[in-house]
Amino acid sequence: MAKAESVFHSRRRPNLIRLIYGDRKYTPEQIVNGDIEETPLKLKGEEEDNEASDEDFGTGPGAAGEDDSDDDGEDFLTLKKEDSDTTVAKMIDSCKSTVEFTGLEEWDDLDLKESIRDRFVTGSLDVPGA
Amino acid sequence: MSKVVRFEGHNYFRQRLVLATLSGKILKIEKIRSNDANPGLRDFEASFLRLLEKVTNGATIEISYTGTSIVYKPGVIIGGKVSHDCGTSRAIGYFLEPLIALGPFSKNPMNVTLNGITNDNVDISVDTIRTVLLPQLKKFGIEEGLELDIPNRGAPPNGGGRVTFRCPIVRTLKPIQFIDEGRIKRIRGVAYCTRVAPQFSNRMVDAARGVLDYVNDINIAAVHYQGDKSGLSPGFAISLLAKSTTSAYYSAELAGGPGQAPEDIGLQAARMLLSEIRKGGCVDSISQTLVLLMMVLGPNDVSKVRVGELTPFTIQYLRDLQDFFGSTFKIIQETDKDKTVLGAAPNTLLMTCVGIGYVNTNKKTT
Repeated sequence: MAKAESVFHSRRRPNLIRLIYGDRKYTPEQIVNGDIEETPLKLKGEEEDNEASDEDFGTGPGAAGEDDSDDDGEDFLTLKKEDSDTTVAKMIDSCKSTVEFTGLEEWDDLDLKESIRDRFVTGSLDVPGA
Repeated sequence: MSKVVRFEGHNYFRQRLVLATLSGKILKIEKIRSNDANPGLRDFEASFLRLLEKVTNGATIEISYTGTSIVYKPGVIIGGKVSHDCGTSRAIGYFLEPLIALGPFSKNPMNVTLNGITNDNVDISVDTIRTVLLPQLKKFGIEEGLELDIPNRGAPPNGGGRVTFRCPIVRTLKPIQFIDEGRIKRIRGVAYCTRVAPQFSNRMVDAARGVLDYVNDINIAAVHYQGDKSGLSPGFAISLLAKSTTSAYYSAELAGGPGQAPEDIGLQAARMLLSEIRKGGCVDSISQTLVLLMMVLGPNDVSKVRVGELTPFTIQYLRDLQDFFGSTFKIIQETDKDKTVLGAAPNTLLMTCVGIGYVNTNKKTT
């Protein structure tokens, strides 16, 4: 665990400046979640791919929205629409991160509660490692 | 760098308009929900543009026929007495947050009255803005007369709240060196309720206090708004903050809706505060963008701040800061081993930048 963690950090650490300011091929979400090795260009790339296939099928986005026929290309286009709905359109312009109730139960654990004790004035001053 | 900055998509709309206004660059945004069933600007975005027009002078905004692209030529931030109805699609925080970034660089001190929703779970609440976001400006030398009054509350969906924001003007900012996060000495908060049983506030406070038993200095105000101060909808919310010995703030907040127990809201908000404290840093997640912007706008001097982990919103903000001002941050990740401050949280980031030496030329020198 400790080794895996150090490997993870050593690989990720020096790159943060480059990830943010470099060629910007990762979305902010990808950088935060750390999925930067396997799936580059995920968000933008998929969109571009889909757009390219739009032209392949010869159907404009407007035409696709109007009639939901059984064309193969239509399926592709509906999928694209859902994709933009879920990923981009759902993103809210707010600095408040979405409320996540999952994981908050972990604070019922007394050990975890105790682990941040030293961040308070009531904690011990000789913190190990400091 | 070019005079025109281009973007695509509807995201990060406000910050780009704010940065364009401060940098004087022309902003062009295209493909605003161009693939959406309902394309173009939303009502709250149009409303924000109107507010921007009210506090500036000489700005031109061209919106395409479909509303999917805009060209914004910024004017002069003029400030003064302005009032604006924020509607009910987004809370007041959506409109107030960018005003805080513009306020100090106005020609006349801002005195803005906003009507709408004061607390919800999408935008930061007016309580957190008052108790956490505004104090961040003090470190940059913006102090006298910085106020946010909250006379009327307004819960979603109908709102009806009212706040007044007053901001002094400065000519230049001070650089900051804020790397010692200190230790948390006190916890403060506000729990309010409108048009529900008055005990709701106390029930939220009791539940939150039960979790936050680390320090004795806890004071969470329980307020019940009555009559015409209580807005148009029933609602209750709690906003919590922890303050350290070096004046670092950590905040968390949660609003309750129909069918939710006030105990749950208080409990979850307190846990969210603990999560925020665990992240560490001298600046909590919601204040990151404002502090980083003020660092960039500071004098030609090095500013340094320690933050916990960066949020996705902040990462995009860093990129936008580079696009508009050309300034980049040096980011050093500190681990347990090389941390320099006693008792600091592990794995914090040290953000360093040189200010661009922004001068508020609108302010008259006497």
